[in-house]
Amino acid sequence: MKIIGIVLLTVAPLIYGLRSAKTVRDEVRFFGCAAEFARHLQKCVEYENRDTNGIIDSFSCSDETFGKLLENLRNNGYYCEFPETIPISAEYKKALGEFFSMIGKVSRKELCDSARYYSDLFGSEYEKIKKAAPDKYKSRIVIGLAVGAMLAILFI
Amino acid sequence: MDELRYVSGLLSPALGAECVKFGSCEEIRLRKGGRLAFCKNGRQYYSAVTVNEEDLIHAVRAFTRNSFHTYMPYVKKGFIPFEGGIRIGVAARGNPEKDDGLSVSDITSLNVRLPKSEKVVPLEIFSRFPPDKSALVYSPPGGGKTTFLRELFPLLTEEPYEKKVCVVDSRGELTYGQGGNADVLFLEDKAEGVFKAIRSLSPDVIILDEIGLDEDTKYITDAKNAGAELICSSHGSSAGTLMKRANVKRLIDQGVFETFIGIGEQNGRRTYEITPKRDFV
Repeated sequence: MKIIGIVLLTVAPLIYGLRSAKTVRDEVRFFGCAAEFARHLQKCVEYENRDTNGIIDSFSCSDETFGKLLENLRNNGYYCEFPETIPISAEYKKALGEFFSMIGKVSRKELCDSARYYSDLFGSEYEKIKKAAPDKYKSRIVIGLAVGAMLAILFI
Repeated sequence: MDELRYVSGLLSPALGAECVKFGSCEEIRLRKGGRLAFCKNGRQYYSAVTVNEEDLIHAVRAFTRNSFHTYMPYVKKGFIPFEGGIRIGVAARGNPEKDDGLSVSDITSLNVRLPKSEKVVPLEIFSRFPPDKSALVYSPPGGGKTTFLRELFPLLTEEPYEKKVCVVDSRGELTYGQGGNADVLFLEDKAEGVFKAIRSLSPDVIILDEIGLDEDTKYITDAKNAGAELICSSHGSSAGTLMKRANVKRLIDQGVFETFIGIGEQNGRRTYEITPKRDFV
């Protein structure tokens, strides 16, 4: 019983570390997709004046969460809701909400300007967190491992 | 009923539920600040639900495929091209301050007209006049002119007429983008469309919906002089009122049309009054 307890206490921080590291990866992927979509939208509207639903259909998204958001926007428009699980800060969630709420409501020029703005905003954040991601990723796993090991030593 | 269900699915949840509750109708009217209304058999019925700005924006987003930017040129002309024969009329506040002329919040009401699923015009009507010759179809708004043209033009491409028909479908209401054996200039400006048709499609007959503007007289006369027959529609409750419309009168005086078809209503049924040129007015 004691052994099982020690194993669990040791493994739990490690799992937490791994999950936390995954969040870093999810955040990078999410921002990458958001920036890429804003850029894609801006180009399609500026050069071809294409309709948004067609643009969403033709956009291949590597992030599942962002893909679901786009699907929601396509199907529910104004009533599109953001789930709590989006791996970004409240500040960027608000920015994304503002961006999505403009789609389908404004003129071509306004939409292009706004898409360009959000593409830059999400793009610069993407570059920033992508650069910091390997260290952050590694450190979260290492911390998880260290805490686990420490607990194991303490209990042994 | 299928179209009604489809449209109600595109509206905000509260309005959609009201549409399903009301059941089949000819028109659904969304007016900002007004009650949701339905038109059935020429009467207007009001729902208890009031349409707010969010409802209207939601509807516009859905009808324009989340693309007000793409559809704005049509919205400015007072309609949103839509699929499946559903016609969406738009009323908006003028906004001269804005470069692009319009924003989604300027839209004050939408009129969603649902198509009839079955053929409306009895076939024998088309045998009462030479349907491959120039004609003017007239009726009050919502009287059935577009339906008449929509049911007429496919007949002209088949036996015994077998004409080369070109439909200039400026509002996307005649063909919904597919004209069968007819050539379709879909969502094309009427003047531009007639010019293109004459220049490159060598049509025997050109179909045009809702004429009556000053510019219409010029290209219609040009097309007639180029040798094409024109079957057009125009608003007018009677021959007398039609002749009060200066531009339509000019075309009639120039002898553009061979036949005049007036669509009316009696005891809830459509009537068709067919008058040859020599007897008109």
